[in-house]
Amino acid sequence: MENLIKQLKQDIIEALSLEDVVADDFNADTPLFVEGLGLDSIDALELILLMERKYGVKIEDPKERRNVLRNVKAMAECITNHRNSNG
Amino acid sequence: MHTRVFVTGVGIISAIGNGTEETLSSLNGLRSGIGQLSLFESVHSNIPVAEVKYNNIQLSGMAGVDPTIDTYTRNTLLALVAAQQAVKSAGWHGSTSQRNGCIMATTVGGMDYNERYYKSLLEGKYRDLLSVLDSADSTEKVAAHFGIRHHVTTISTACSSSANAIMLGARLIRNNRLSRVLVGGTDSLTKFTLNGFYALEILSPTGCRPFDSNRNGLTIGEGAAMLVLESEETADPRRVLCEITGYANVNEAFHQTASSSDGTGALLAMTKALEKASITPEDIGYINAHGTGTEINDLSEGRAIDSLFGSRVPPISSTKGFTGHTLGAAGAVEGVISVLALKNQVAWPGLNQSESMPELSFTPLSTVTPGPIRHVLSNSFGFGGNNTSLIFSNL
Amino acid sequence: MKAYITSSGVISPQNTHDSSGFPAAVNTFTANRLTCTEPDYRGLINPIQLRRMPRIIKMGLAASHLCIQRAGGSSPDAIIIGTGLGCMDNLEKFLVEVIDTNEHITSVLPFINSTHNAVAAQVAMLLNNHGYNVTYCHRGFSFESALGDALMRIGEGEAQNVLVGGIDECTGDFVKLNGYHGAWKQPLINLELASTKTAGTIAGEGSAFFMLSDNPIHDNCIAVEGVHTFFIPQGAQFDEIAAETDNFLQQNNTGRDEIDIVLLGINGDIVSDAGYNNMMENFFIPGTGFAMYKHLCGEYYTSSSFALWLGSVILENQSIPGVTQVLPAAGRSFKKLLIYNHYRNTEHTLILLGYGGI
Repeated sequence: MENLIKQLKQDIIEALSLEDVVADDFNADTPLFVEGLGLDSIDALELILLMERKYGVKIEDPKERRNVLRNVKAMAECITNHRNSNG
Repeated sequence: MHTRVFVTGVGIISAIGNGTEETLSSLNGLRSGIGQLSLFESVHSNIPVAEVKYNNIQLSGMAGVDPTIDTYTRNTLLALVAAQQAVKSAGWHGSTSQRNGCIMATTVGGMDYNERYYKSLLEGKYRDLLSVLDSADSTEKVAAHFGIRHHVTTISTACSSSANAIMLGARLIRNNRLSRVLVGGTDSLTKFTLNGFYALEILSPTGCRPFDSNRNGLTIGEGAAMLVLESEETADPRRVLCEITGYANVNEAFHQTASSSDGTGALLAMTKALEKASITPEDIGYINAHGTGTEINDLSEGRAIDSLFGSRVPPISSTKGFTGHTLGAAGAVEGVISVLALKNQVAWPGLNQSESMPELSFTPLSTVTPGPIRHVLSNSFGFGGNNTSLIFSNL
Repeated sequence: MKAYITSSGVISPQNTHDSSGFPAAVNTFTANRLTCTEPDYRGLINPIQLRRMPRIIKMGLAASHLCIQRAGGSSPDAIIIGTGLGCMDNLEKFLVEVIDTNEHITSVLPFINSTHNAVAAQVAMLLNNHGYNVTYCHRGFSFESALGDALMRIGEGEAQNVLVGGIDECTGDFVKLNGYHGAWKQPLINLELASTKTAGTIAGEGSAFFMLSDNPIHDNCIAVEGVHTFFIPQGAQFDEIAAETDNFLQQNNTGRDEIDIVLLGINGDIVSDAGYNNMMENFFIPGTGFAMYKHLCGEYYTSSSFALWLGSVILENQSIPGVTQVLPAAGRSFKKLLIYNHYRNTEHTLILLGYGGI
């Protein structure tokens, strides 16, 4: 889980071009949207694509998305669950 | 001293037909042009689109272009077909006079060639195709066809592009810079836009349902439409179809792709267009809405319409259920449809309606509805918050 | 209808974004592709918004920011931009990804940024500006279309202040593709561009924004008196260019003999420059001064926006900087400056500037 969180942070920084942000600037619990990293709806679309393309997790329900994208820990948990249920 | 701006010729080719007669027939017959993707291979071929039902070879024939010459993109072929119709119906031939202009619009340009040949182009192949990839190519080929030399330009403001082209043409006539101007837009269906809108998650998997409570996205279309605008002095009264009395362009400045939920930009554009036309909301006989079928646009535009018209929203529909969203050509395609509405004194319904939007006071037309229609309001709202409203009026 | 340039903001291969640079200091390159000298964008644009902006949007925002600040900071009544290529970099990025991944793209941002009006939209968003907002995308006419629209907007009484811009970014793919057409010379010292007498030119880029106003803010404000474009697809003959130019000048109550300086789009290509040489020798009267600009900014669709800035500098200072001069002007005071440019002899543009003309 630790490694996945570390990787996800890096993925987020790269996908969203957060040039001034390094992995140590935020932790797994930091809110991603509105406060914390202050991401917006376009960033959300990018993260959805990231989850789908790199991690094979497709999240279509808007409520589920808000839940999964709330912080890195939630994203990591979602990916781990997906991996476990897919054997 | 301001000159009145008349529409003396129109041309149109879209998913619902080639020319005004076929278009009218489809509209009156409630026949949508939305269907299966056939123009190219795609992993998204299950997503409905609204294609023009002619391939490029057929379009070449219709445009009078040698189909073996490969420097005509689909964009340009569509534009030439529509332009020739418009100029013919205006009884004009084109000329090099300083008082003529050609203002067009597009978002994709020669993207169909770009996506087909890009890798090869980068390797140095197909060199003669380089000059046809950009947004100016269609405009210059149309202008060259009619010998038009002055005020030749291209506007690109996403989905409001050709509405802005019509507006610029109208202003040039109104301010007595030009006597006659060919205006309009063209956009062909491309993998580029299909994938872009797919990634934005705003494509309908079932076909767009504008202003419906169960709407689920837009349907991309393709097409071209052109209008000949003339000053009162030069227009042959027998050719006059209607007048452009109002226009306005504003920027919402809210978000790169979405409109605000209360429709501030849309409201401002419509209000200013009415002011320009010196008419009140009560004078509008039909609204041809932008109505893409996305959750955001229809709510935003719908709220703006409710704000402006209060409890008396006139007959309204989006015709994108017929033509799809023709992107940069939408303003012109729907502008021509607005002209047809005035000429025939009829308004067409929104297709695929089942449930009204609870947030709005109005329901779009559900049947072909006779007038009287004195003024038509036509909306085109684009990415980047670019909002344009046009008013077409009977004389 | 004329309007006055009340401020400008320029990012170019020269040090134009602050006042310490050109023409006192001139950047020279040994290259066939000139790249902009860019400011630190962090000082001008919010870092949170900066992060996902493609370079061309940063160039546009920075130049427009400088222009607006210098004009006193008020939001304009309209924003009108010309760009020949638009956000080509992001368009290429998205296109290549669609092709390479067989439509399994991983990022939507390049698609959003690829719309041609992205710069104009971002400028409006940062200013919260709701005014008229249009982008022209027509090769060598892009900037002049924007300028002409701005003049008309002011003439109609719909705007008192209009932000007008010309912007193009040079991309690697653009250079490569046009290279196959022999568009570029071998790398050379840019200042020697006009003397090469060979085919090809050098690529360039830039972002130049101007505040145009219905009122001059001081007696010596530079006026944009007129703009004209003409398209001759088979290539223009000298007579046609002469007739169009005469006509344009007449419409602006000016004669050939009243033009003190002509700023020409000489780009070093022997075929293209023949047209300019012809005009120099056979159209304008002896004693007219001539200058050029593309050796400083390179060739790009909206390079005439750099020329507009340079033309206004020449008129303000009442002197032609040595590094731009082709032929000195006989007169001592300069009232009228004409910018003449053409793209491949098919798209021709004219901009007339006036000095102290209230």
